[in-house]
Amino acid sequence: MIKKLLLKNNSVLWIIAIGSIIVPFLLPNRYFQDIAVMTFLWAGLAVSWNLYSGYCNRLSIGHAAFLGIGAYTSTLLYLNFGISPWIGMLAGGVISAVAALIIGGTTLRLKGTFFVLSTIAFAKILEVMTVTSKDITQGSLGLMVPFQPSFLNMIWHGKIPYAILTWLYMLIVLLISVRLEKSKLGYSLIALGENQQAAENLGVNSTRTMMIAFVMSAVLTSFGGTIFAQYVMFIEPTSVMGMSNSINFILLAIAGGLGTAFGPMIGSFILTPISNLLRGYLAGISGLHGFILGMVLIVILLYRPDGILPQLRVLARRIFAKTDKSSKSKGV
Amino acid sequence: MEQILQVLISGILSGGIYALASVGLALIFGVVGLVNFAHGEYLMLAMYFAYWLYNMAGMDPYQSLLINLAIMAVVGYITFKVIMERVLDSDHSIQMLLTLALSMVLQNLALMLWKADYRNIRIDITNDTMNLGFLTLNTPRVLAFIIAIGASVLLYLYLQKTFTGAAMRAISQNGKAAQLMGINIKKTYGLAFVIGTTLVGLAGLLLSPIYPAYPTVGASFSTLAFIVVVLGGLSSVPGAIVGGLLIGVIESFAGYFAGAAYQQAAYFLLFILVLIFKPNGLFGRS
Amino acid sequence: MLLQIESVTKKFGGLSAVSGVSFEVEQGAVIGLIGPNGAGKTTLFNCINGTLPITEGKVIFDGNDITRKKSHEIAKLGIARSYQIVQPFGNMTTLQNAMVGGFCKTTVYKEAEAIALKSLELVHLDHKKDVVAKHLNLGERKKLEIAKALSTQPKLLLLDEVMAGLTPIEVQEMVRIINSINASGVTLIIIEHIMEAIMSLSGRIVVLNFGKKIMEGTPEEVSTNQQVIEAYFGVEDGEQDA
Repeated sequence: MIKKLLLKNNSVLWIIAIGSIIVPFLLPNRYFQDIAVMTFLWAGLAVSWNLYSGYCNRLSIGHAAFLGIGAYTSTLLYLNFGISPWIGMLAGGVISAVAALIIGGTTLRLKGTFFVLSTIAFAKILEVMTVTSKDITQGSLGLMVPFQPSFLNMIWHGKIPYAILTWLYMLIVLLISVRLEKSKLGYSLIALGENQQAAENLGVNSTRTMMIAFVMSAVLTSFGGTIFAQYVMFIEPTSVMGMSNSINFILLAIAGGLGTAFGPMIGSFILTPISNLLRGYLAGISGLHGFILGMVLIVILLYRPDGILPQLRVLARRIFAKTDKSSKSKGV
Repeated sequence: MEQILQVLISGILSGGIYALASVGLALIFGVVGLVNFAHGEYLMLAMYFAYWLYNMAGMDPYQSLLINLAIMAVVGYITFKVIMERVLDSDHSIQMLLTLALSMVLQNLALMLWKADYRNIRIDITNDTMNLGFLTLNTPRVLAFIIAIGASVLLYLYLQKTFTGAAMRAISQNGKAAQLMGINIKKTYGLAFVIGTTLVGLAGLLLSPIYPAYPTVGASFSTLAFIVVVLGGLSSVPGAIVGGLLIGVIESFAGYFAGAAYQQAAYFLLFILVLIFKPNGLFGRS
Repeated sequence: MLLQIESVTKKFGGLSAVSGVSFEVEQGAVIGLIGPNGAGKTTLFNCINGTLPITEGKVIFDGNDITRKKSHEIAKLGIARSYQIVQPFGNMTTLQNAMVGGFCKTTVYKEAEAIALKSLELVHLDHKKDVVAKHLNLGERKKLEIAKALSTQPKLLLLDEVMAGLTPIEVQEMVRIINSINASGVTLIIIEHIMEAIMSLSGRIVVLNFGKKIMEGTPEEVSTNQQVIEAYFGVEDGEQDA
């Protein structure tokens, strides 16, 4: 029974995902709680990224653009008009959807390398626009969110409320991803990622399929952007929209397992804490942290390009195969 | 009018360097089929090596040019052997991610070794100018332009006139057929990769008297080289030369008329327009 | 008439791969499409199902003009095809592969699953349903290729050399499978090089040579036709090379 649960369903992974909310409550101080918040947030963002790029195997290296749209929309609405970030989050989602439609409309039909390059270009253009529109965005100076705690402002004392918020965000995105895997959209997406021509011959409308997934992925990333802004309370074009964030989405997703709902979450659960702790402990040597992460990525890509999740499954299978044998031999 | 001409010439001079930084990328893409996001990092490394040799051995970048090129060739060869050779048959996304990771590693390595400070090499020639009629030109930039265009043209001739060059072109057009013709694919891949990294290294060396070295200097040139290469038709070396000059001029004019902040926006916009309307490059046939 | 092909021409550059081919396919029929390599058979399939745009001519399917339709639209209307070089979705299981086709006419997971299972049963592949496609052998991949196409619940199925590379026993099994597919009400056009198989399966045979239709008739008529024999024996050597 347990074996079936482990191998067949996502039950254990769901238990990990849901149960993980205990962790921030057990952590001793704000420093570690902050790491927990970041782990949930990055898990949600990586799952969102994976929704398009992971399933249909087309890398978007400009996804941080949507993180930026989410962060800047809600923050600007909040600072200039006092509009609650909750509403700002939805507004950011709408703008991201429109942006994704425009970007997708022009780039999704591009093949391989061209698509990847165009996603970078769009993110760069947005970044440059944000830097140059100083009147609105303060350019490179960035925007500060004033500390006015209230539920309506999505700002709280302490880290625990943020942990709950980011955990919920992660769960919602996961739920969408798991649902996607069991739907026509998901099947179409994975199929056209493997072989577009063959998929189209089976009735898959690839343009429409890619567009829907791209927009979903963009909107969910944008929601994460608003949460990011309200948590960090300072946004600046490069640190939000820069390529390093996009690469981090990819790093987490590929470490856990590209094109699986839970892979990016597992990736974040393992790598985000390590990365944050490293950053803390190695602060004296600037660059070491990024160097190690890059090396990790290289090692994963060279030796385990399928990520950790399939490895865990194999491991589980082996363990159960052993217990099966031993119980059988006992029976005889 | 004189000012416009000055802007134009300045753009062409930068364009020469952009061309040199890009031909290697086009070569690697065409022959090896690799989209090398770490391309600019070799430019960065070369600049730091030049800085090192200047600081420790007192050699200016021109004196240390050959030593530096040899170092770049070795670095390129090691990268190819240790990393790239293993993923030649892998999925394109794996290859792209790998080069992205490599660029991350090299950038951070530079940050560890040399800190984030700007490192300048100030030699006598740095601020030298020469006058051509009403034009005033910065000597190291003119020198860089001449060497850059010279090297790019040499690469072109190498591809056209030599047997190995022909082998590279053959692989670029049809890898399988080339293999059947008895070309050692792996060796040729390695050679193309080494030539590519050495050439972008040369671009870095030529820049070093006039441009500071810092850990992310390569990243901006990487993006630039990608734009140039897409304009030129991805795997075309002459296309990259023309594309480089074009980008130099566009950047120069955008900077003059709209301000420095819009330079980047201008060429990214051009880039997207080309991707949408002429995905085979400005000079490519559809 | 289920399918009407009206003087279809496909040019690549200046060369005609298919030129002025016309024939009709009746509901429920099994049509054999034969000809030496390079005769334009696969290109004709590509034209029918929208993989390649047609240069001239018309294709009418089930009363609809599908000449300019895209392949996913044509799939929805009821034409499915298999590829000579099999194209499984390597990282999906056999069942999931077939389910991609199963979703062609429904959005309900259970329904798509049921349709896919039925097609896997029809090609005798249901016992491998949880195997990841890249681990299947060639015979099984050929069957999967058909099962995927069948899952779209087609009225017309285009089979491109599904027997190439199979053992004689596997060929016999494939013939039985194709017969049972036809018996379930699916009209078929089959490209095949194994003459025995195609002669026994097809009611009528269309022969292409150099992109042109050189004759159409019953298996007996075709096998005794001088032009066909010449077309085949005349290029026998060339075929071996290719």
